[in-house]
Amino acid sequence: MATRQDDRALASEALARLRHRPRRLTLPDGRTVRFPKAAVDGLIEMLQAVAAGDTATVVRNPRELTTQQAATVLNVSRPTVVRLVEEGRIPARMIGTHRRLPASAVLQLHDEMIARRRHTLDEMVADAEALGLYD
Amino acid sequence: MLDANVLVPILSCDLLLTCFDHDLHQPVVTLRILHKIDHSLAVDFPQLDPGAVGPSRPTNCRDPHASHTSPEADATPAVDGVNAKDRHVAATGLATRSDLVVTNDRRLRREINPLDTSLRAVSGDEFVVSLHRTRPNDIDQVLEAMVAKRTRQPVARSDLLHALATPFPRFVAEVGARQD
Repeated sequence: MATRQDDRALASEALARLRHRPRRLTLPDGRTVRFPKAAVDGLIEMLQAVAAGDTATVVRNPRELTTQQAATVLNVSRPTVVRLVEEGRIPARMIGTHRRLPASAVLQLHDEMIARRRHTLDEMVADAEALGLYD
Repeated sequence: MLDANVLVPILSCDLLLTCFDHDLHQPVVTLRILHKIDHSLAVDFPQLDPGAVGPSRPTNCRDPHASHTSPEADATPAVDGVNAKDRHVAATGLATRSDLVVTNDRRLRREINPLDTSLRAVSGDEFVVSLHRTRPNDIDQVLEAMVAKRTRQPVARSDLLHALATPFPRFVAEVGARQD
C-alpha cells in the first residue's frame, strides 16, 4: 500500500526537526521523555522510509532463537540445526526440553555458509576453466 | 531438487549454482546424483581424475555440512508411478519438501507431474525462465557474476548467453528480448 501524500509531508517535517537525533523530547505538559539511541535511530529510519513514500516495518531481533527459527535463517531443515548443535557448531542452552540458540551465533554461521559456498563455486569455475571444460 | 542431468555440462551447473549463490533458489541434491555427475564427467573427460572437478568435488556437495546435500529418501507409495531407476529422485524431492524437481529427463517429468503430490517437475530451461520472470534484475546479477568469474578465459556477456542458448534456449531468448 502506498504511503499517503500527507504522511510523507509529515514525515519530512519530523525528519527536519529531528535531524540532530535528540535523545530526549519534551511533551506538551512539560515532562521530558528520554529515549535510547537504538530507538531514535529506528524512528529516524522509519521517518526516512515514509518520507520517501515507502512503507516501513519494525522487525525485532531476539537474542535467542528456537531451532525452527534458526532453520529458517539458515535455510536448512530443523533436524539439520539440531545436528549442528549436537556437533558443537552452534552453541545452545536448554529451557526444559527446548533448545535456545544465540542469534549472533546463528547469523555468524549463516555468513560462514555463504562465504564457503561462494568460495567453492569460485574454485569450481577456476578448475573448470583450467581443465578446458567450458570449451 | 536438482537432477544430475541439469548439473552437466559445467555451464548448466555454473548457472544453477550461481542462481543459488544469489539466493534465487535452494537446491537439494543427493550423493547418488553426485555420483551420476562423476560418471558423466568421467565419460566426457576420461583424462580427468574422477570427482576432481564439478559440483561433485569433495569440497563442495560432499561436505557433510552442506545444507543442500540430502540423504536419499526411501521410496513411498506416493511415487509408485515413477520408474524404478528414478524413483529416488521423486522420493527425495518429497522427503525434503522440495517444490520442484528440475530434470531434463522428459519421461521423469511426465511421471512426476501426474502424481497426487505437491511435487512438480520442470526442465532446467523452464526453471531458469521462471526465475528470470520473477526476478529479472537478480538474473542480470547472476550473469554478471558468471562473466566476472571467468578470469582465465574471459567471456563477454553476449558470448556467455550464446553458450547458454544450447541448454537454456527459452531462457536466453527471454533475456535477449528484455534487453532489446
